[in-house]
Amino acid sequence: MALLEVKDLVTHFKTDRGIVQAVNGVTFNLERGKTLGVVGESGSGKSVLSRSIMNLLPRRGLIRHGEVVFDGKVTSTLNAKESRKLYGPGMAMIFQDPMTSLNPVVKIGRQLTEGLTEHFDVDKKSALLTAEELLRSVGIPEPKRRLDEYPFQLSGGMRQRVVIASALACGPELLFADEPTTALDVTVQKTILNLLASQQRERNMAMILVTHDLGVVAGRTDDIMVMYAGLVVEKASTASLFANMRHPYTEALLRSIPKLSDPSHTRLDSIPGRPPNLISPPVGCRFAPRCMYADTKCHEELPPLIADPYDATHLFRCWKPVNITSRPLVDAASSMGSN
Amino acid sequence: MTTTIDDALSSAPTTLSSSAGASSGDIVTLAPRKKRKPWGAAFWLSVVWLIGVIGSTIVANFVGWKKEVDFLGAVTVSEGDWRGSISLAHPLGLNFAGNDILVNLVVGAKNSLIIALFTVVFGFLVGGIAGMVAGYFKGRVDTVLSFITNVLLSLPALLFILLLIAVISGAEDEAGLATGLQSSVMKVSLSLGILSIPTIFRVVRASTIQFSQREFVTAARAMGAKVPRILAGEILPNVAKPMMAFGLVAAGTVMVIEGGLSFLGVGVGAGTDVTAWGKQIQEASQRKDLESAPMVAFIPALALFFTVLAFNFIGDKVRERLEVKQAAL
Amino acid sequence: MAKYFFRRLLVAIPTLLVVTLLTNAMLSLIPGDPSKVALGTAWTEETGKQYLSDLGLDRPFPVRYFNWLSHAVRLDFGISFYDKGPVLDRITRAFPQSIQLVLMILIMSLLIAVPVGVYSAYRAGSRVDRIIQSACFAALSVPGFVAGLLIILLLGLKLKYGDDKYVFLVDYVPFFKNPFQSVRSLFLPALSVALGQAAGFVRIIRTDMATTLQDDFVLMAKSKGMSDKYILFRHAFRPSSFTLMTVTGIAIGQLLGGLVIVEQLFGLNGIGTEIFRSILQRDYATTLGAVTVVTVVFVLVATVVDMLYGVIDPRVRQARKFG
Repeated sequence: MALLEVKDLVTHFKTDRGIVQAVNGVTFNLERGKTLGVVGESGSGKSVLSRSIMNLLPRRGLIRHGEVVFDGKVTSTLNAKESRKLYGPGMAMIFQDPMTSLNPVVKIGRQLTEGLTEHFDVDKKSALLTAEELLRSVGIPEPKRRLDEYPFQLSGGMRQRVVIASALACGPELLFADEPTTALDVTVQKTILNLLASQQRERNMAMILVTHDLGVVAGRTDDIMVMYAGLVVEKASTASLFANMRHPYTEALLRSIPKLSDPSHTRLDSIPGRPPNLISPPVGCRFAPRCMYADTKCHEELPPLIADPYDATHLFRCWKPVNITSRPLVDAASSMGSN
Repeated sequence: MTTTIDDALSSAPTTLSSSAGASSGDIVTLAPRKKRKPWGAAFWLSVVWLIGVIGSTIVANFVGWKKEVDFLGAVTVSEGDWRGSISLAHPLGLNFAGNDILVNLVVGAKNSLIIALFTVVFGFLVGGIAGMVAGYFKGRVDTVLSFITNVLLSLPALLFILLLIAVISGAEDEAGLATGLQSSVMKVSLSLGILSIPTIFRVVRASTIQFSQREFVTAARAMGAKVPRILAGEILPNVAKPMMAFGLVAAGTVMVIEGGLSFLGVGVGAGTDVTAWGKQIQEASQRKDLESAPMVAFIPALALFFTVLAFNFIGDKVRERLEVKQAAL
Repeated sequence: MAKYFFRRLLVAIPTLLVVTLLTNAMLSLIPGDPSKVALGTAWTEETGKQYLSDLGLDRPFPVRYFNWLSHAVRLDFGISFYDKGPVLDRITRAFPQSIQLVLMILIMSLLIAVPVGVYSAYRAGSRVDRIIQSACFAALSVPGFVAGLLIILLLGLKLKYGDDKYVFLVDYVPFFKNPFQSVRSLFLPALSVALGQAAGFVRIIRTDMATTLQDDFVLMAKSKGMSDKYILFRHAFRPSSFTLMTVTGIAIGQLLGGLVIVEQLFGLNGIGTEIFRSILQRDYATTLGAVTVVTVVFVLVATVVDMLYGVIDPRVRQARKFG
């Protein structure tokens, strides 16, 4: 049985301007210890998806359908109080900006121990010892001193480590990493991602890595799910995705990454047009207005999610998939490298 | 939707060349127009109330209602029969001195409103200009003016106003006792105006600083505009908008302070026949038999309350409106 | 930190000097001859002049001011023109009452405002929130004395009469004689002001907290399973309380001076009343002394509040260590 089963999850928001259709029917499974990468641009619904699965969204104006099953129990119907028991030992989340993820006026020690004292029956002293150990395990020097310090006394990368430590404090089985490296320097990004990976291995923890950057997920995930306008447009194992990508959006994403091997002054490829309107999305394929292969059928009918003929676990949602007969972009995958 | 992979395969292009061409025109679907937010029932009620109050004072002026002594009624309410004194000729009844309450209310409104108006205008004239100068030029001018302002603000407001009133409205009193004050509308306005200068200065200065940093000011300077033109033409129109909201709320606050002063016996009307709401409340509440006819004190109190509320409300709504628009810039 | 403290105090001193100078100047500008008030029927040209010269009121202004100042720093505010006793006595009689009243007002306001404000922010946008907001708005538009009047009448309290005036004599009991009675005697006056103050505080708390609740660390705490109550009071409240602190500090000074009206209404003898009366009595010595005391308290409190920022916000503490 999979650790996490998401069945046809729909999440809409009622707002002054209308109903925002952020997530429109997402289905996937995640096994223990595995990593799923969720890729998409802003507005694709990837962040809303994570928060929706975790029941973290504010209740006012929220419309949800579908089912989430975590560790054999249905969690999508839990109320706020019951959901809270899930957090910490069950699921945890780390956010994008380490500057704002920590309370600036609360000591680091407390921010690490509060989860422990809430969920487990520990006294303050043991909690602090655990916190110290946690800081050490995420690679923060002089952990004991840090417990008494405040977040502003640390650099951005260090802060993100503290955030990770505090999320992992209760030993969750599933970690949502929502753009964990976007706000960090490029040099720091890799170390943070490595840290996450090693923690995962040590704890046999599943992880959902949400990002807009294909480069981040390459080589670090078992499966990848590409989202656009609240829909899954492609889902495959990492290798299969990079080797045989089918959806034009995925292809465009990959193409837009500048490569060191390109000669200098190579023009950067961007995807033309703008993200779709989530209140009144276009009829038919949501990506069609920006797709270079789109034809009338694409504009009129929304394609279903179908399996690739060569690989049943590789799904895509397109009338005119690419790469069926042309060369796979293997060089791209290897140039990004892993670890 | 039972398409098979073969359908998909058959319609797939064999090359990577673009076929239909990316149509970027379609995606520009505007979000549904945000319905114009209504101002709110409370807002319009406030406006109606204020128009009513102001209107009645103007009408009263022409009808010849000057002082309350013109309308001495035949009946006094010392036996506590306020309710009984209500009639068509005296819709709100009579007060303890036998005067018509409605008339008093309207006459008092006139004075209270005039004071509020003059105070705010005076305060903005002096404090506003000083604030703009300080905020725009900064430097030593600003340091000096700000220091003076801070000092003035270190004096609790009521004490300051008491001193001001004593200085401005004080008069030689033969008897040598009581208040020895000769307050008139102008004098009270002047005192309150001076009181309001530091606060207005601060607010205008902050607003000016905010706007001077915007590009259109730099642009005007680059075009060679002279300082007065920049201040008057660029900064002033922008600062004026939030100040309007502030001014409305200030008017309300001034009325409250004026009421308080009258209550103490040092506001408008001290030593004279002039009346104002605060004075009416004070006169009524000083009496032993207030309990028999509490409404005599409450009617002016309610009038004051509603008017201040109206000012506050309108000021707040205006500020809300302006802020939203600014944020979109 | 200590360096910062002394620097702040240093800035406060010129302010105090200018305030006392200003007050002095204004007092001397008040039209009317204090000797006439003091001597009443016994006034003649000579007695008047004598009176003025006795008190040194006929000397030029700068001389008078320095004279006063040199005594004031030794806490000698001179002799009251009115009752011929030391000014300090008048002040020390009235001051404790006022301070107690102010403290009671603040405690009551905060006790009301904090839970209401926090709840309002927690449920921002809901019907309850909107009702609270409107109530605060209305409360803020009610002048203090009207509120006091309302309370007196609504509670239908009997009162003592003096000279045809409607005065609600409370018979203030000093705190150290009988704490319970003391608080009881000031309860109603404090309440009538506290309601208005609380309304102001509620708005401040709600605004600040509603903003803070949108910060990421709140969501982070939630995702760790912390309860709403914990998040509200142990995470969100601290960063949202800065404005509240500042305003409370300012309120102390403002209330001290501004309680004249309430004191008059309830027949209390606070420092506001002393100042008021002394102005009417042309008892400049007392006025000067009392105003100075109030201002000193005001400035001191403002300084203390400023220092407190360093205690509450560790970021400020850091900046100040090296600042």
